[in-house]
Amino acid sequence: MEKSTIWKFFDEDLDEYTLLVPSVAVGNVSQLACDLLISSLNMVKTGSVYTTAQIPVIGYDPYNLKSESLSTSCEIYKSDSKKICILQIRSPLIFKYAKQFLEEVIETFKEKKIKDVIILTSSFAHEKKHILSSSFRYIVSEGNPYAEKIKNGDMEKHENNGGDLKILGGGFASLLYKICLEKSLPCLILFKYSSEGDNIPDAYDMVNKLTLVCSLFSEDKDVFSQLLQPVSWTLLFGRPPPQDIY
Amino acid sequence: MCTFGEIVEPASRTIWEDWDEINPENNETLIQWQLPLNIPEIIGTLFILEGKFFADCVKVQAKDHLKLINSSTGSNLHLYQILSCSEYVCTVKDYNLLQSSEIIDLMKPLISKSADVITIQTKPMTEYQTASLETQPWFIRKLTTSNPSKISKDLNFAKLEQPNILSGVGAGAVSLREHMNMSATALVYYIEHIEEYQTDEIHMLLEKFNIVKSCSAKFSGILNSNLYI
Repeated sequence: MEKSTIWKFFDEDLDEYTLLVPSVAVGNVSQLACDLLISSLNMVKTGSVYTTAQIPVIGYDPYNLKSESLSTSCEIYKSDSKKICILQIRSPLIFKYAKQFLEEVIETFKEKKIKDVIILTSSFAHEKKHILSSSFRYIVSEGNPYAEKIKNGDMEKHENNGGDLKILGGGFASLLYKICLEKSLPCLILFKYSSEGDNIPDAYDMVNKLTLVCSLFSEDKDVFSQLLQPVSWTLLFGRPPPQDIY
Repeated sequence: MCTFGEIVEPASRTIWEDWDEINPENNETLIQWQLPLNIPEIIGTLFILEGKFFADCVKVQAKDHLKLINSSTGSNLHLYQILSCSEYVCTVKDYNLLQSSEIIDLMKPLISKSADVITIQTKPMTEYQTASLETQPWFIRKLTTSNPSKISKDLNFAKLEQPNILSGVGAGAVSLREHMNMSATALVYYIEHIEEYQTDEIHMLLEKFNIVKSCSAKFSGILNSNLYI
């Protein structure tokens, strides 16, 4: 059976951009963080991807309720002023097709001359062994431009006791990191130990940590005050109670 | 929804497939058509009907109206031809959500050949997210591709507002058509009880599309009940 991946780009220019990829993981923290970035930086949709490797999801534009534009499982947004692009992933990847798809993602963006990749993800809170340490961990490839900056943030290097890189509950993050290394693309993983529940504060924290390595917001003001929640978050915890019950 | 006293752990979409526990050897289920798929020269509208209600409704139609031309039993997928015209109907029910994109791959020759695609599915009212306090027993919402349909089907329904989304085979068909710059429409019926057969409005819609000639509300109720209660 033919496996499909269809790329649709409206704007091809991604020269020297940083690619941000959220891995579908505990509490969807990284996807929520990317939602915050797209909404706050007013990022523009520049493409979308249809792939067999993903569970299909459709809806209308989650950042503009008046829009008639269809939104799908995997879309690309970019900010020209900040030189970043986000591959927003709205549904999980299917394990057996993931490797092939992620390789294609990296090849496609490498052809577009992106300069590096930042993978955002989360891990189960109970996996954090040192309870007094920061909730954030990072993994950075050799020669990565962020290597020095990230050491100055309140984050710790992920301890990987030999063998393959593992982030429990972190989805495809470690697989994508491995692919980036194979393709010689500088890569950074940033993750937070989190639990399922209200993960909006985790998303805010993640964006705040990200600003330590990437200059995304004005430094004159507090980062949190510059973040704008997308309109699609308004009913994240359900609708009001039905009036019939009173 | 949970029963009184039940503790429900909050869960996100990560539960769809646990990447920490996957055994790659168990991932080789192959979805395929039972018969070789002969792609018709002309396909007008391809209807993709999702869920038990639609599958049962189509199954009991007269053979001189709807002809079963192929099936994929592993995914409960059936392909019918409406004999009076060049339109086709696919029904799919009780499938594994993780296989939805594979089912779309199987249907891709039909989806890409059709002049238009309309998907219909039912969802329980409890899943509909709205700030409105108004209550209705049922309603229909619509999602359309950027490329509008050239075939007039009189689909004057309100659009599905964010944060409501659709997933699965219907969503896959619309998403694929969007990426091929072709037209498609997804209709979603929000009703109180999706397994109930007293939904005349759905029958009227199916009759309007010429998918069913008649659909008795009681035709298969016996199959769902215990005779001795």
